[in-house]
Amino acid sequence: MMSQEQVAENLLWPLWRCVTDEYKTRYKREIWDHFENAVRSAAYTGSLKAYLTNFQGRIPVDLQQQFMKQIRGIVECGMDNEILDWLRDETTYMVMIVRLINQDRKEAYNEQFNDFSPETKFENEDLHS
Amino acid sequence: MKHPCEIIYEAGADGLFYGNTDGICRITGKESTGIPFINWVKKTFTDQGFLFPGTIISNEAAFCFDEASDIVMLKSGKDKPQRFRTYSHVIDSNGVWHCFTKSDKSIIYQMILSGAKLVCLTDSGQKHLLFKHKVGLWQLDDIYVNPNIELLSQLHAQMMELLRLGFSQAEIISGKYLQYRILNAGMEKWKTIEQNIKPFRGSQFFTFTTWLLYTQKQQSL
Repeated sequence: MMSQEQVAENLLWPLWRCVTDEYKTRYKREIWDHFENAVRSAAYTGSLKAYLTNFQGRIPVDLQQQFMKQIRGIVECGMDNEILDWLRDETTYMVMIVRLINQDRKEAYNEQFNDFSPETKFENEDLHS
Repeated sequence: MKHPCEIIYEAGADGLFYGNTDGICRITGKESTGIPFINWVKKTFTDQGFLFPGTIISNEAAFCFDEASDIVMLKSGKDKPQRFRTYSHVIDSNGVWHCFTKSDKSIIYQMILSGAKLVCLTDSGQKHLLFKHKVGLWQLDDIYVNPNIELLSQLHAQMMELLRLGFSQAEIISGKYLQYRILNAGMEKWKTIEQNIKPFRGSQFFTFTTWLLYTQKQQSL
């Protein structure tokens, strides 16, 4: 049985990581609203496979191999209707989970940055959003 | 059973007299005295479906349609005769009739909690509502809800907490919250409250309750 938190961590978080850096930079101020709107509007379909396609049509995404196992785990779990309902009705909550995960990640990098010399700073557009 | 117009008339009209024609009132459906209906009704009156067969509008009903009422003027503390329909009308648990505006929501809420006998609220103040009121129900414009003080106080408290946390009334009504406000308020707090109120969103009771929300500034006025 899948929970909303698991879907956020294993589907939305990877999708967020795969949104292109260019898009995140271009829409830096409103990127989270764009993401939430895309998560919600893409869910007006009947299957999670179609959801992925819809999502990619709304926001430019480079699906990375490292996340494929997580994404597949959700897409093939067989709870399409329930998960799509959550993506439509609990969007804000699930996106907030992603946002908090991103914030934690950002803080972790900042700590790492403080521990080492400035040259070791990890550059990633993700972290600026 | 008394018609709401009769209840209000008894509670505060001091026997105000508009006419002495005998007949059956088209608003209350009861024998009374008043004005011939045909002389009183305007072409703009469209609520024909609420009328009873009859020939007059009684003094009781005419009072509740008054477009220039000195009694409502005195009750509301204004300096000109007031339209009856402009105000929300509440008869409190002691049988006292009150006329309120939207700035009195905190008082209205307290009166409802105390067991008000008649609750007929208006948001726009544009339509005649009282003659359509169903005694025993709470009314907000065209919405009628079954009284449930416990549910009202629970929902209202949760919604007021959301307002205190910085969310807007529009967010509470729609369920579409701005992310930065959730971050400011704290996700756990927001989620807990939102989960409690969400099942009621879309119901008439939810709409009724959200109308009774007020800011602390309003409360202090």
